[in-house]
Amino acid sequence: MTWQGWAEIALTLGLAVAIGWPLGVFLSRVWNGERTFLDPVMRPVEGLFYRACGVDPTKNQSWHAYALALLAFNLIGFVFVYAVLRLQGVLPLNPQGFPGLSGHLSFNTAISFVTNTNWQSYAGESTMSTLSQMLVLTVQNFVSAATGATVAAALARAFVANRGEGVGNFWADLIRTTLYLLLPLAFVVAVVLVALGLPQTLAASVTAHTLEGADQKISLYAVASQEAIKMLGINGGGIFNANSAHPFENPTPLTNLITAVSINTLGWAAFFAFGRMVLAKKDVRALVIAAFVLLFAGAAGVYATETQAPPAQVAAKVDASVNMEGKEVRFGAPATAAWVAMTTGASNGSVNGMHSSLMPLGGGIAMFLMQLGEILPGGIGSGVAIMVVMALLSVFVAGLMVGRTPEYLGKKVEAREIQFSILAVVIIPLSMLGFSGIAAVLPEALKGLMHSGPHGLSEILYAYVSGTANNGSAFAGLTANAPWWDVTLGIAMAMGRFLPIVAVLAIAGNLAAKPKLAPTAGTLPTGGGLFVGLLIGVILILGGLQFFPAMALGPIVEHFQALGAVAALR
Amino acid sequence: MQSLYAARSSASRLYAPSWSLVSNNKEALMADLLYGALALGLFALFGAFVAALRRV
Repeated sequence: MTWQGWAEIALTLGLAVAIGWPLGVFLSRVWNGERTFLDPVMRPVEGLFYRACGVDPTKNQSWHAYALALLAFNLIGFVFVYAVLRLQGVLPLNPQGFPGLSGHLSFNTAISFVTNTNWQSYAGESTMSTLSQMLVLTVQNFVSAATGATVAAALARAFVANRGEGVGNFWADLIRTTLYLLLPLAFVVAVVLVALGLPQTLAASVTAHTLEGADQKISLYAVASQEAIKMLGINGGGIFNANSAHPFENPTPLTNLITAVSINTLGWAAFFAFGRMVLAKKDVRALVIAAFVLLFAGAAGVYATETQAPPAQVAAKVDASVNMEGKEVRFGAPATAAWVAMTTGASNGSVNGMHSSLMPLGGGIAMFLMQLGEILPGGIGSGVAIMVVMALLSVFVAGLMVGRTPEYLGKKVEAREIQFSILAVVIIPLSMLGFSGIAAVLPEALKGLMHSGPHGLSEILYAYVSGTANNGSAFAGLTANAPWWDVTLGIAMAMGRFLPIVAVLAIAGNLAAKPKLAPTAGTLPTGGGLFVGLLIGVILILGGLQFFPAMALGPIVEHFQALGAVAALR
Repeated sequence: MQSLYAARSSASRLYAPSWSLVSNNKEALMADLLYGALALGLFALFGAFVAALRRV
């Protein structure tokens, strides 16, 4: 470990927060329907969408109408993506000549992109046509991110309302987030990435003539445009199998910095937007601090583990100061460590190094950050929404300890909010551990593993943790394009996405109907260091403890095996 | 190069798309029905969850 490495990690993580703040101010204006500098261009387009879809953007929807609209939109998205992938072989813009995908792979991919997971049981450059990449996958990258953002907007309005009835309009929130935030920002980042060397073409491939006299086909795509929204929309699904380790998706350390910062920046922006909307900047700052502390701890942990001696290098008597297996030489351990933490803290799932090649505790930290619920800072909106759920549970715990009715941001937190919060939180381990437990004993599932023993269990656990948390990264040893994995991961992704969203919207509906209270002498302060500590404790207990037995059998045992192997060799 | 084309053509036999109803590809149709029903069932479950929470 070097001071330059620590500085690189701190710079990358810090830049994401710093850039997130002004974007958050802008996002709050978008959610509030206030004037922005993009109005002259985007207002007419926005109006066009409303007229075409027959939407009245001023109609205030109840929480259940909002939730049903969200579900209906995503169901339509699923049907469209599934159909295009199945019919890929006969649709235009397929210069690669790829056939349609199988039913189970289409199901998995459609659910994956609709839920913002971008889990890919396939290698993009040998499976997806240009049309599929651009029309369905890239479009879903935009609208799935915007879907998550709508949840935060609804929750923010709930805290602002004083005996209100609605939580906003889903269609207006979706369209405005897409048009005013995601599209313009993705355009700017895509142009920058093109300038830095990412391909952007409709051509299928370019032929290289090798020194041996053979011809090698190198796949090409509209990479920059997909890469921009892949990161900004906290999607993670790359065009190439190697994702952001591929030189066409991430050619230089500068593109690495830009794309790494892009992973987290809109997640932080959603935090700041939420704080500005509910007029509780100090309280939301506490949420940001708690999330950043945990995120930095994760990055530090991965950096520490990746600068340990891997047993194979010790056995070969090679300089073993850094575990470079699975890492790109142009990035090294610090940039990879920062990326691992940012991608697993944020439900992004892109990788600039192979997670299966991380040291056992490094892979364990990646899993742990996802198990916390993707709140560091998580998806655009979905992260802050679940973090607010954690805050509600924290004030509830504090209220139990001091014997006062808990309040948060001016709203009483009562039985129904806690019940819905527990529902939102308990779905995550139910899916992660339930599916992992079944897969660990089913021969059909075990066929897809590359490794046996603790690393094999880690492959299983990582897959369902990643799917349920809508992350999308994977331990690359798993062969997931099989009916069992495709179907069960699809179900896990859908459960992990929509059930917590519905629970959060239900919380929003209840809170909106309550009166807004002024703080009193008995109100627990939720903007200070004490609350930050309490929140971190609740997150670690809720997120960490329930996974500890599974982690003990996977990465923790593997870590001790590695220690034992190194000790035996020295 | 040749092996790449061969791999693709064999893949197209494996992944016969559902449009080939005209060639009576029953397997593709059954797969589409199965996965369509599964997706509808999932979203129906989520809708039922909305209804259940609304009643609480």
